[in-house]
Amino acid sequence: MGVEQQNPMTTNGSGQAPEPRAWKARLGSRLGEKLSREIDSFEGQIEQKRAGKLTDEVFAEMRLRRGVYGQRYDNGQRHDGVSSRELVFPNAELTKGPGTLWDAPGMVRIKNPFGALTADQMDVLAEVSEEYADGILHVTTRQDIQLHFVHLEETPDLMRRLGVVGITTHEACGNAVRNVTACHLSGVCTTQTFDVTPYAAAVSDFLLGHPDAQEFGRKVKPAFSGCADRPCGLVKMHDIGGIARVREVDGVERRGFEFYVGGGLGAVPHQAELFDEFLPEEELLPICQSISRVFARLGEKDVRSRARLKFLVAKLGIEEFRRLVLEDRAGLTEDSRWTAFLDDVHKGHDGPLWQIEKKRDKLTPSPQLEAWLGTSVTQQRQPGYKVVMIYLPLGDITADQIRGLADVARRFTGDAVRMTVEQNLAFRWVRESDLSALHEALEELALADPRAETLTDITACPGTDTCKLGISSSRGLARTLMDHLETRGEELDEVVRGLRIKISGCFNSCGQHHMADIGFWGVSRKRNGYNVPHFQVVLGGQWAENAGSYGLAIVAVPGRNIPAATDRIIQYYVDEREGDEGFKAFVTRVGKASLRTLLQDLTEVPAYEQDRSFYSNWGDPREFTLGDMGVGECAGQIVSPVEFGLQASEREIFSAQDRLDQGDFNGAADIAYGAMLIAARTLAREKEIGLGEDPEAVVAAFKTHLFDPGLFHDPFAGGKFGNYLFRVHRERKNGFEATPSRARQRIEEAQLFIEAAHSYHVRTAETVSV
Amino acid sequence: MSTQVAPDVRSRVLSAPQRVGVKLFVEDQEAFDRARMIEVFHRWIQEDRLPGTLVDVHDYTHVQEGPGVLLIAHEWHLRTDEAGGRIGLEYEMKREASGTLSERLGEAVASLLEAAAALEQDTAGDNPVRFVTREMVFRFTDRLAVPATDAAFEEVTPELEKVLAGLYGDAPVEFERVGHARGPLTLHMRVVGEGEWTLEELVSGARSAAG
Repeated sequence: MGVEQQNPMTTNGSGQAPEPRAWKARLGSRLGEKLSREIDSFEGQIEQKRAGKLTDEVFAEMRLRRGVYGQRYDNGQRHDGVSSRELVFPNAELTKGPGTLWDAPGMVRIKNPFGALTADQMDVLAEVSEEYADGILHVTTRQDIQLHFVHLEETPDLMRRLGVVGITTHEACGNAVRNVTACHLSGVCTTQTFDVTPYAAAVSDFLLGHPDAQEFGRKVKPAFSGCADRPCGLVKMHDIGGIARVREVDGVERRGFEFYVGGGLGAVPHQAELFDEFLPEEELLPICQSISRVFARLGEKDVRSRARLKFLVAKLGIEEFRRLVLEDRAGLTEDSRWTAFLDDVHKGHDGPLWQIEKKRDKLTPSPQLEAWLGTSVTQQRQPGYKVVMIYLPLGDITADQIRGLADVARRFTGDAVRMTVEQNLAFRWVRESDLSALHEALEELALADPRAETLTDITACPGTDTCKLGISSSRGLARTLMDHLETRGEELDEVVRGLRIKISGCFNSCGQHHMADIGFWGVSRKRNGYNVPHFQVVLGGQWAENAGSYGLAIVAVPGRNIPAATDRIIQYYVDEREGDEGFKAFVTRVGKASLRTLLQDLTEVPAYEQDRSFYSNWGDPREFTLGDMGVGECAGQIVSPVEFGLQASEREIFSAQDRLDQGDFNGAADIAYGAMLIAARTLAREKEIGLGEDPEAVVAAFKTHLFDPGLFHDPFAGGKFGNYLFRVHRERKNGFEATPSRARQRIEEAQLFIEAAHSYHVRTAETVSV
Repeated sequence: MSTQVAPDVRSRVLSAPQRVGVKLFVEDQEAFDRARMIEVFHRWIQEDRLPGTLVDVHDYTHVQEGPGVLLIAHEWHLRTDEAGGRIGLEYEMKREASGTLSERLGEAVASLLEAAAALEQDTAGDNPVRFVTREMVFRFTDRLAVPATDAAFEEVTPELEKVLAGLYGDAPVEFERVGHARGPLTLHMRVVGEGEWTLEELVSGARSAAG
């Protein structure tokens, strides 16, 4: 099958001379000079790396800044369900980053500020996805597009072709300012204060490649929202965020932002802190610049796990952080770009392709059309126009579909298309009279499914499908849950149809599980001598009010039982809700203890011989393992002392959450600390028999036997989770006053420490198994 | 707008594409079991069933008229393609190709047929997968080498006829250009002459022709 290793450009059908840089030659004049030079430079860096003139670390950061990312198995190892196998690529000795093989397929992230798409861009996205990737465009929760299974050497041409239609991948990954997101309704929304689109565009343009935004320890994610109540912008989970506000100053209405900093999800989620109740519009860019400068100067650089802006804000406190930013702002040299964009902010980013006609379309009353009108069409603030949501299952769309959508856009809305943070597409400025014809056109593309923004429109991160950090299959579970809930269809009560389910494959929250009504994140548990994929069930998050609050994990359930767990949770809500009580209020009222009890029997895992499906991920028949699996003859019947100990620590975490719910923040923090000590002692006792319960001794033993030798270190996060214990222990000794957010943070950290203990147990058990 | 090469810019002669897809349709569309393909493809990786560096299996069955289940190799992708609402098996050569245009086409056809034969063999018995042997779809996902133009269509069909003669002998075939005008050049081939061919016969013919 065509595996000969010749230069593919040396021979062609006609014997003509090869064209080694043909796309560059053909498109060069259509690219902007700056972008063309940047891509040429990146191509040169690829050549330099190939020639051994760049280190792995340096080149990895270079390619990340160009949006070229790693993908699962790029270290050349894959467990095929029986054994771990080496993937033998042609350039076996060549690498494109630390432990990352040159030929291993990777991901390219494409950055579209505020998720805007034009019809021309859709055409080219279709082309590059079918030529360089697997024919699928994946819309992310940050209004980016990701292509998977792309070869490094094809990325410069891919970038050139995108550049022709004004798309860049620059700073889509890496320690940089990432895509600037904004609510997809901005400009047409019935509840907006004003259209934030031009401001998001200005921040995006201003900070892209800005010299003050190049020396970060980690990424910075900005977001904008047109109003405070709705979730489309998710400002409070971002590093930098603005909610549109107007204020009357000297009798004149002024625009500005309720401005937030230091939010973020990740392993330990932080709600953003209020930086300014009203940041005037002319101060938006200089303040963003100064935040970048302060973060670059004072942010953590060495310890990656503490390097996000949220940690700097938490460390300094919002008052001191604000003081430093304003002090820096006062010293900035004036930049005309700060205000140049303000001349155009009232113009609107897009507008109607067609004017409203008096004659209304007579809608054909088919059940499909009615269902679609009910869920997928919303009113615009401009009379006669609608916003149409196009549901993309798990954010995926084919090349053929998006090419067809480009035609549909040209016919009905022009370039007024946005990607949404729920991984769908929004067509703005659709005439009410065109709805029936648009529905018909979407049906022809198999894109008229009416489930956008409903219970079965499930968000999932890539998980074990393509992500190197994935523990459980978030997409596999999402597919199963979508089918399961869709099958139940009509029998589902109306009150649950608007709930949101979000799934992450690990604790890093790319699936935004913290903000869902019902969230799940992937973990591993040792049961009956085997690794079993589980999901932590997260309840109590708030999607509305720009991600107004985060949920907490209540119990880990085997992946196979998650559909049953979901059924029980939503039925419990249907049966027990009071009046028009919302889901979050319901969870708060009934308490996590009762919900945990509700799911308790579902935490049981049948013996391997009884039901092997529990030992695999959804949609993946391979036995779930992190390495070669083996088990002794009697292991299936034995629960080890370590498993008992870790389960005890998890129960403590649950108690801590209860205390938090009751408003006892110091009590919650104390119990979370105690849970960490139980887990640490459980593991340390394996090395130091007779270890007592004195916290000093436990922490010392943990450090000596597990942390210092690197045994407890996570393969990706290093000593991050072990350090949580040391810091909490120190804080405890020095006196710790828990605020609500600090208590919550401690519970999150304790949870992660215990997860790391489980992972350590899994790793060591595998090592000793035969 | 498109980055596709405009017809007037192309030279008359095509170059050999790095990427070309060939698809066979499944006979019984209703009975096709998508979930089973995930298991089959994972097993193929375990067993090194096909040549190349087999990387992973990817499930896109949630996408209507999408790529179905993908078997990803470094050199090629194999998918239970559902484009156009008609399920089939598509082999797409992605990189490391060599030889002339017709040699590459021959290699892609032979590779598809071998994969299809393996699938028929592995699903024999309960709900067997069988393929239609008188139709194929060719998709040139390399616009630089093979632009989606009428001129390219005219030039590529004789090359395909050469390859297909190794499979169907003297039986005439016809080509229809299908798909979106801005999509990759896509040709639907039908055998219009008399005759029946088993998949094994086609594999044998393709391999002989490919040398």
